[in-house]
Amino acid sequence: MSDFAVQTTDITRIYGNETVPVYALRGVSLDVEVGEFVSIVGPSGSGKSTLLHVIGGLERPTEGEITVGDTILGECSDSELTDVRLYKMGFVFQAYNLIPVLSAVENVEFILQLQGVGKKERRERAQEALSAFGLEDLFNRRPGEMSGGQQQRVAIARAVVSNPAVLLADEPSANLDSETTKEFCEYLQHANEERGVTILTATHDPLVMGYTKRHINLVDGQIAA
Amino acid sequence: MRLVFQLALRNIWRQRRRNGLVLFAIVVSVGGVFVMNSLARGMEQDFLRFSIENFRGHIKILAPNQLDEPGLRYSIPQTTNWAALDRPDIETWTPRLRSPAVIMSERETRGVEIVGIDPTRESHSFIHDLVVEGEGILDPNDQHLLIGRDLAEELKTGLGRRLVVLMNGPDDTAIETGFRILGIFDSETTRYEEAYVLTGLSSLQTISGVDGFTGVSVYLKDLAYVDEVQSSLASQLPDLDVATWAQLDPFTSEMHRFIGFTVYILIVVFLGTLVFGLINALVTAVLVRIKEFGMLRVVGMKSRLVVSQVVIECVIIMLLALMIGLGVGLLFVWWIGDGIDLTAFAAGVEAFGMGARMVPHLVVDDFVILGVASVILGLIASYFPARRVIKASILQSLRDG
Ligand SMILES: Nc1ncnc2c1ncn2[C@@H]1O[C@H](COP(=O)(O)OP(=O)(O)OP(=O)(O)O)[C@@H](O)[C@H]1O
Ligand SMILES: [Mg+2]
Repeated sequence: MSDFAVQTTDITRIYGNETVPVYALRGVSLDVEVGEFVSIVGPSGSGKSTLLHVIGGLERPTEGEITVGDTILGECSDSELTDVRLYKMGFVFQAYNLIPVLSAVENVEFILQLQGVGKKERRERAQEALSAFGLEDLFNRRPGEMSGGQQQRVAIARAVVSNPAVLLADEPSANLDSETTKEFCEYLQHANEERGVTILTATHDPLVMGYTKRHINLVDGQIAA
Repeated sequence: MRLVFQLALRNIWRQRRRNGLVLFAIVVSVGGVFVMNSLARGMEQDFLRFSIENFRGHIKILAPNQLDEPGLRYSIPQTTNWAALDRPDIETWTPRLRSPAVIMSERETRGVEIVGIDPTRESHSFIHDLVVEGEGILDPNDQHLLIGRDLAEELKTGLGRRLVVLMNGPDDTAIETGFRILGIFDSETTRYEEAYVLTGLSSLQTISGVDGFTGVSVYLKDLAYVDEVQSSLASQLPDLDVATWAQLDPFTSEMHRFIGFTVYILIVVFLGTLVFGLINALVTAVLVRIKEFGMLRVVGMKSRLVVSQVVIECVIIMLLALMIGLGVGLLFVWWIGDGIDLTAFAAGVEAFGMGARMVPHLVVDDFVILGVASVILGLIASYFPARRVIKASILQSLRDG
């Protein structure tokens, strides 16, 4: 097993057609070691989201290779990619992270349920994860009954509950005020330090950057020095 | 799969207003189809009953030429061997002697048909539920006359009075006989009351000098056996004419086929219209949740499972609506009970060959077809929203939803 959680070699992502190509990424090579907490920063349109999407297997790069843990994404079928996401990745987005009809604990359990984990173990692990993120009083709340910050914490708990190789977060604090963002970042840090989760987050927010140990600066789809 | 089921149920509940409307629409349609179906079947049943009870039977065995020249000239000998009629699909059979006749009171004259019956064998014709004032025909040897209320009024006669009946004998000599009216009957339709005068079979044989019958009506255990029994009897009784009710009453037979056909058209048209509304509602219901479906796929739910969630939601709604719809329909049919009273139009309908009530009739096959058709439609309808869910890529879903 490699010591890298994520490796990308020379990935390019082109949108549009041949006559008017839009280069979202041009030759991005990146190594993220296991246990790192990395922020991807850069101006709007620089390709931050696209980079997270291709690493997360939500779309395929036009060229280049991505390895997550020891899985080479380019060799996976669509269905296998779904499994890679289920077992090896956690996702936290800006919004729409949770299933509205499920309670907090059920949302976290959902991942384990898809993985086929038994009922009892599932419940214990989900409650443990929620508790670790300060949500022990909100097990049975549905997303609609929680604040934005609480929802994002449920999203982290869900993302880390199955010990993924990497947690991908795209502007996770965009809808939070600075106080809540701080709290949220502390929990991300907690996940990183206490659980050893590798985290890759795209952000505009200097506050978030302050918590990460390494910044990757994207400009026009390329890593700036 | 339990997970998918749970998600489906909770999502149905979440969109309960929208789904409630969809449910209501299906319930009304299914219930409506059900009620109309049962009334149509009731009407059909009425037509059939009138056609078959009317001295015809499912199958009629006639003396040759009887169809061309009804009367006493051609008859089936008393000594005929009826072993062929001893079969399990035959409920009962009954011989009769019938002749066109002129009937005269002191005041009026009418053309009727005189029928000699063996009352002990009339359990399946309209005879068994006649309401009789005075004395009915209780024995084949009864010599008095039982006539219909309407006819009695037309002849301006009544119980205890005498009538003269004039008919053509087997050898074309006129037979004139006096009878005393000992009974007057009321029947479901005035047609019977006007058309038939009844006396004992043996008694009429004696009067007419015919040692036999003009015809034998065969009543089957089920309408479905008609053709089979007819062809079997025809080959075993080569000297006699064996005809089915449908051959003797093409109008009702056509009506029967027409109603059967209409019932299915009804189901198809109603549910067909419904399905468009259903697809529309389901697609909208799914579109507002596109982002959510996208998120499910992001975190690792297979497309197949996402699709089955949509399909299960549709099918649950459909099944629920189907059951409620059938329940409501059943309740309504039960409430109608022994029929909608058509007395207001009864004069018209009676002449048309129906009773004065519209009685619903339940045909199990029709339920099954309605049920199966609904479920299939639910599946078809679910295809469209399901396709919408996975047609978009995950990222599109997240963006557009
Ligand atoms: N589906 C798409 N079709 C066409 N072009 C796209 C598509 N997705 C992204 N792009 C383009 O790719 C480039 C990179 O977009 P991306 O969303 O990765 O930027 P970003 O750094 O995440 O920006 P922001 O900070 O605004 O979120 C942009 O020029 C964008 O317009
Ligand atoms: Mg972005």
